[in-house]
Amino acid sequence: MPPLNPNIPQEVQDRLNRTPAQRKADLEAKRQARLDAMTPEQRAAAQAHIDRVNAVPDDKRPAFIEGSRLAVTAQSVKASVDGGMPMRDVLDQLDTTEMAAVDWLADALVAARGT
Amino acid sequence: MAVFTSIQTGSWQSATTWDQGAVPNLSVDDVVIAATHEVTFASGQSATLGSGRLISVLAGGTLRIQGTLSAYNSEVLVLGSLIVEGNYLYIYGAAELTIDPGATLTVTTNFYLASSGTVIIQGQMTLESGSLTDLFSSGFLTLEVGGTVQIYGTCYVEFSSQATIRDDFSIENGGYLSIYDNGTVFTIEDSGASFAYGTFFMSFGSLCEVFGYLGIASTGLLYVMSGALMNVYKDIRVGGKMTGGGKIVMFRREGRILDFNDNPVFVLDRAYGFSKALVA
Repeated sequence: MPPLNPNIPQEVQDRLNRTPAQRKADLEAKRQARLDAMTPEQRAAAQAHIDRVNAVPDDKRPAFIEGSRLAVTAQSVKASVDGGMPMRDVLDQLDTTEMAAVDWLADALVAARGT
Repeated sequence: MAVFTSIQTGSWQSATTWDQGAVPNLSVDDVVIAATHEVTFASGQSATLGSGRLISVLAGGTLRIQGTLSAYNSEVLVLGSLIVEGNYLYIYGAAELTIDPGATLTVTTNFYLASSGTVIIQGQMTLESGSLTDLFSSGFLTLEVGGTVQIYGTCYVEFSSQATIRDDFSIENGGYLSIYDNGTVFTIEDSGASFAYGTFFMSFGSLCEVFGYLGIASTGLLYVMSGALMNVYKDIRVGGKMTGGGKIVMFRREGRILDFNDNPVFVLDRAYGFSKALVA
């Protein structure tokens, strides 16, 4: 098909010439190729997380992500403490601003779990 | 359903900006930003590029996103400049953003990639100070040979997302890269080079595969938290701080931990030698 507009490069013209259904098929094929390049465990984890996000309403997704990050941090701290690092040492490394934030979080978590 | 091509610089929401004499409906229309035109998607405006649709920014053209633009299962192709300076740009659901050679993506606010959303960088991506870029829930970033990424702000790669680095990827002074959670993989391929003048942070469960160059400058911090794993197949260069409680595994007998000027940090043979499972 000749270019509709001579100022539009062929790369773009080729894409414009494709139907939305063809583009969707291309995108899906590339998405599948990226997923296929993962290990089965990575693929399962990715799909599980996609499913979890999709189950969360749009307006709750920022909270979902923050919760996930909080859980990752908690897992890391727990692994270090389980490995013998005293919890007191963790807290002693914080400066005043960081300590205030951690104190706020601890209080907020206790309050939120109590509601 | 039509192709809307810009005929002058102006607002996206102005009919006089487009050859069709109307404002494009991204559910059913394709859009081309022509060379020399700067089109602004205004603050307070929100739209989603529908499944199978296409936005193209031609070389010399600029699209400024000052509102909220999402792309679902669709394509955004940039041969010119894409500037994200409003609420956010969100690429998701198999959607693909391609930054062609010579093209630029500049983020000063928020850029999200999720649910198999992908960005392919063959040109330049700059994440400015104060910006937030978040790849989550299987977001993909591929930096191709010839492309560059510079992070001055914050970039998360998390929750089963993947970043593949095939050229220069730098975390600048004050910049912050955070790799989070199981299933998240940051791969520096043979042709790739990652320079950290800021913070390179790996959290519990994350994996970094280093086949190419990784350097932590004197201003940089490599933080490998408990439960995180970095596999190194050549050398790594650490001129700054390295801390955490995770593992760095050297997979080759001749692999070295060097300073930023290529001098060995460890000179004892046992520190760089006998096992493919040296844990630093």
